[in-house]
Amino acid sequence: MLNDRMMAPPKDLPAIWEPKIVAFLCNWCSYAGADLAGTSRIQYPPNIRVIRVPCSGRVNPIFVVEALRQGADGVLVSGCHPGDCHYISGNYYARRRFTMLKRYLEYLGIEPGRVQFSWVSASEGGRFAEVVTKVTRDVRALGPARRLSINKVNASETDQA
Amino acid sequence: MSSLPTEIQQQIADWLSTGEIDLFIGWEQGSVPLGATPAFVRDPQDVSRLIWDATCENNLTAYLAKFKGQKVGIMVKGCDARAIIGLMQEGQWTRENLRIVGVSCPGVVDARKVASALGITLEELDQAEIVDDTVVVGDQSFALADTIHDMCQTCNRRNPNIEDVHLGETLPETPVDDPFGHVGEMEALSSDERWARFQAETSRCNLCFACRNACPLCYCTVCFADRTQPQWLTTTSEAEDVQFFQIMRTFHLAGRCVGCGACTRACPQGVNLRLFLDKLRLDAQEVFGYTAGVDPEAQPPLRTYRQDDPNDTFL
Amino acid sequence: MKQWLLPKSSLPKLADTIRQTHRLYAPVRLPDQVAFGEIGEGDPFTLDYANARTSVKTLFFPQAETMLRYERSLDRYNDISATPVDSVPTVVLGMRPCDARGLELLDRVFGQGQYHDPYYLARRQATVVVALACAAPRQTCFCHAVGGDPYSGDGGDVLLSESDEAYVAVAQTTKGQEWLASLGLSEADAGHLATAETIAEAAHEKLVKMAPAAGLEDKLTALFESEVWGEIAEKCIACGTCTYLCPGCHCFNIQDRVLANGGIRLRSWDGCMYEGFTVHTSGHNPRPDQGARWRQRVLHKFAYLPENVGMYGCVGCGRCITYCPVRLDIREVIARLRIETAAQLQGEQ
Repeated sequence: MLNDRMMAPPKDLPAIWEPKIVAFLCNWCSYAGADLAGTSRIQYPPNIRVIRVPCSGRVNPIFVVEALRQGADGVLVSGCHPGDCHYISGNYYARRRFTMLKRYLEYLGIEPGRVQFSWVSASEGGRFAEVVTKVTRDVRALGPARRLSINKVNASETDQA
Repeated sequence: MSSLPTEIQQQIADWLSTGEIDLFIGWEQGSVPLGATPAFVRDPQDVSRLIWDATCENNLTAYLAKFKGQKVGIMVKGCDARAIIGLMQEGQWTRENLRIVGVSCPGVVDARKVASALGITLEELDQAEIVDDTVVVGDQSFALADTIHDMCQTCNRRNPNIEDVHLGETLPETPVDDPFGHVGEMEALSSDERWARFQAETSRCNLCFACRNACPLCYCTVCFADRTQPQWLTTTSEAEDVQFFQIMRTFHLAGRCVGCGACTRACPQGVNLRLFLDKLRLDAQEVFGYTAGVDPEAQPPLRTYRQDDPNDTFL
Repeated sequence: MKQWLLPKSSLPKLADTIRQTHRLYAPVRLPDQVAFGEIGEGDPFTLDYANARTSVKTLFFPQAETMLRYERSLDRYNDISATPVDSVPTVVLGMRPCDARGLELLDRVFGQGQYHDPYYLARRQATVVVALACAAPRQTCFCHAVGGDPYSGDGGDVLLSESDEAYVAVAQTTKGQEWLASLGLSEADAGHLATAETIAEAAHEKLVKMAPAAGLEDKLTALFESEVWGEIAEKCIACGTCTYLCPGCHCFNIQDRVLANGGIRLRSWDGCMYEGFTVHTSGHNPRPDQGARWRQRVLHKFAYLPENVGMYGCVGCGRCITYCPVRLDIREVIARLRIETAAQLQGEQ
């Protein structure tokens, strides 16, 4: 295999695996909700890496699969509640799209819980923290994501992995 | 070698001579056993080259994208006809620009099955003929029904649902027990077992893109697989690349795949693509009550929405 | 040249002997194809087959290979290491003469001229190629029309010819001579030689009659602006299967692949049948349609390669004919082009 033993991680990283979760957050609701969680000093796990998008409807399914391919252990896509989309209907399309995607990925053998979706509004700072806590817990329980990753040993792992 | 009935030949020749169409796409005799080859006829006198038999496995509607905007005639089986409707649903073709010869299809031969039954490989199948309902190879013969593709054996749309003229008899549509049984089997496996199955099936894929190119609904002028800014796929056929391509190409057909099977028949490595695409077709039916390629006016499910759509995917 | 006898019954023992000192590849019959696989202890293989689906070039010129790799850590920048070339002593047993001629072509492309390909050449030099002549050419075989022959020894180190429950083995190179001498075989007797001769004659009778391609190379370039290419390519779906399976196709791409802690420089197969093959950064494509791309395929194999390296880029193995999803037959293409060149010649007179 081309990637064999490629990626023994540097010795100076922490020895405990921490999940890396990519979170696509819509600018108007979920990102603002995340921001509110921050300004309210609500504590929640620091494992998400946020990518701000204008709308959950902007999230192309290829982003979700690409995140897993690049070594993310989990993916979260979060947008406005149905009916509240800043662009009126973007999240309705997202809802259909990700319903199909989630079922499909699980069918092909991606572990349930790796890829999750939520509606979090701009005023729901506490709820955002809860969602992230849940997703992090679920992904931690699943262990490092290997199935689609091009990095056979993720940089987030120990060299005993 | 079965030329078309005279009246059909005449109809196609008339369409060409009057200029109703500039081109007719059909099948003609190929140079290898059990494989017809696509024919592009522009001269009314060439209509006699065209054939119809159980070796006509290509879905010719995949060529329509090349002739967009022109007036084209085409021959379609039941499955192929659904792709035309799919293209119309997506605004790729208008009915007026098409002249369609529909043919009822009892199934097309899978030459690999014949080779396999003889204990040989495809290269070693030097000669084979279809005589009535049998496939004859030297002094051996097989029932045609046993040699047709798996997908043809569970076909419930043998008759085109869009056509201008019909060739031959209409076939009865036999209801099929559990047409998505193979999907159910996969769903019954654990997550680890499904992944193992997906890996095993796709391990044979070498990213030749025959599936994508044979698919009538894959008509993007630049496919995601060919993009370089950004580059999604590197050029190897390592497992990660193959899996990524397979997941994304098939998912791009979510709610759009008409289940014609052209991809599975085109694959030189015999990857069971139907196993993946039929899940998407099943979900479109179960979740959104939608079947692609039936109603030209209907909207594919991912191009529309309802306010009361199922919400249980979302926290 | 000595003619040795290799009884078919001694093949498993031969495999064991070879494996003491070499890695062994031989044809393995799988449910739906024959493929060259690495033979371990007791692994079955067969020399009773038509041809492998994928050509043997894969063993010398894999679909993807690492040229070099670099590693990155927090206190250093880039540590580049060249990938060691593969020079494991190897024997490939039982490839067909068409595949061996494919290697002859790759030898010229990768080994002549100013630039030599170290990855291909290392494998080639470390390998003994034992070719197996074709006693039963198939309907799709046309090696004889492109400068080959079912009994050609080109590109191989040893040629095995079918006889009575045995093969007659003849060295084609010094490497082959030394290898054969090391096996402790007996020389072939007159009886076996006579049978081999008879079988060879019958094999040549079986070849589908076809006009040789000779001479075509001079006329094809005159058709550059012709519309015939578009007609030929109309049914091609540009899947690249022909390219992947062809023993002679060798175009490749080099690109860097960045991973978490470093990366690799990757060489992988490319194909002129793909639209992206000649797309420029500006977006311009000098071969904008499949007709132009088919013109390239034919001219490369039947005009440019003869001119540049002295042999056709097609070895007549017939794989592209068998596996093309739309049954585009290169023999029909050549026949069509002959008509076209004749017509053009007449038109000029």
